[in-house]
Amino acid sequence: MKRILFNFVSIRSHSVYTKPKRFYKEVSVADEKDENGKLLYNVMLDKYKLKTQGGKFLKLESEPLALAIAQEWDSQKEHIHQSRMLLTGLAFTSIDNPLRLTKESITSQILEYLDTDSWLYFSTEPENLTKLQEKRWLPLIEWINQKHMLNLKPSYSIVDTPEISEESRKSLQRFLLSYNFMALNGFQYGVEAAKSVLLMLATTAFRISVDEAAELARLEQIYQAKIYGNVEWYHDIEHEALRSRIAASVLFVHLSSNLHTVQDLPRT
Amino acid sequence: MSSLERSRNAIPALRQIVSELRKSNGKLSRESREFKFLMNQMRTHQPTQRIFSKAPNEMEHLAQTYATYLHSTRMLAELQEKYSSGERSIEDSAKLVGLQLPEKK
Repeated sequence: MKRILFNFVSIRSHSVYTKPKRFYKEVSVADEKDENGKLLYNVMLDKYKLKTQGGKFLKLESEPLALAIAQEWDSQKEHIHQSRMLLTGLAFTSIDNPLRLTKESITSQILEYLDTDSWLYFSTEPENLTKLQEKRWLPLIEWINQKHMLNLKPSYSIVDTPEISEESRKSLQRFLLSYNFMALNGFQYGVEAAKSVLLMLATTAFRISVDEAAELARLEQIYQAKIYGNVEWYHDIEHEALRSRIAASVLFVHLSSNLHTVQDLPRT
Repeated sequence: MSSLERSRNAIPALRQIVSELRKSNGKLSRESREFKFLMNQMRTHQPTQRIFSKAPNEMEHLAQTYATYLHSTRMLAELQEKYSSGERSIEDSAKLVGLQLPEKK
């Protein structure tokens, strides 16, 4: 059994045609205390602690994250589809860090993405599409500008770049660096899936739901599909894939950050 | 928003999570850790507890996000299964171009 686990763990990239079989019966979460007495959570596949692809034990500080990752493994039926286990993938990548990223390098990658943020490029035609983008994206750009004290302005032509001041960049850089390394990995994943930093800013702040975010990311495609028709195996799959990636990203950002504590009020 | 209103808002999302988990795993035992965690979340916004949070209604948004994640993952899997059944075996693909696979010894 241990050998099977090692073989699975050492498969770095399997082709689409070879999917490992589900080799475990029960999935559970087990907690343990580290040397400082802090509670950490392991995902157990039968008796074995889940390891990352790099061979490290997956020890998580967040119980809900551990439960959600355990759920990904438990929902695999006959074969293990790693492409459907996004939280696992994000956790593995954060821990193994094969590209040797840092908080600073991820932050600067995200800020670079801002220059090609899809929400900062409005179409000039057809007119209805422009109106739709103005109606749906402009209020959110305004909201982000207010919340982060920025002055981002979209561009209406491919030739002109959007206005992104140096102060805006610095302000966003400070905001992103306040996230921890794991959360930043999650954030970047969402940015790349949705092709927009602004979308991720609005969604992680819960200004818009994931469903709305996916709609806004695919605004033009949905607009075209209404006119020319929807092809289920292409459009719907693309939409669900985007929904799941944005959702996974937002979840991972929040569950990796210690954003709140619960305190019992003193009884009077 | 009072804490009681907050927990009420979370209930549809939490119900959806339970429904999705049942659909994906076939069952959700009351003894399972997930179930206990979810029930605990429903109880958490009691008047006897104060949540210190940067976003006070974060819990119901997170719950909705997780419900969306479960739903979209399941939908994606179903769509992929539906449209991948047309994949030919390697043998049939070879026959298409007039080739034949070598005999396996």
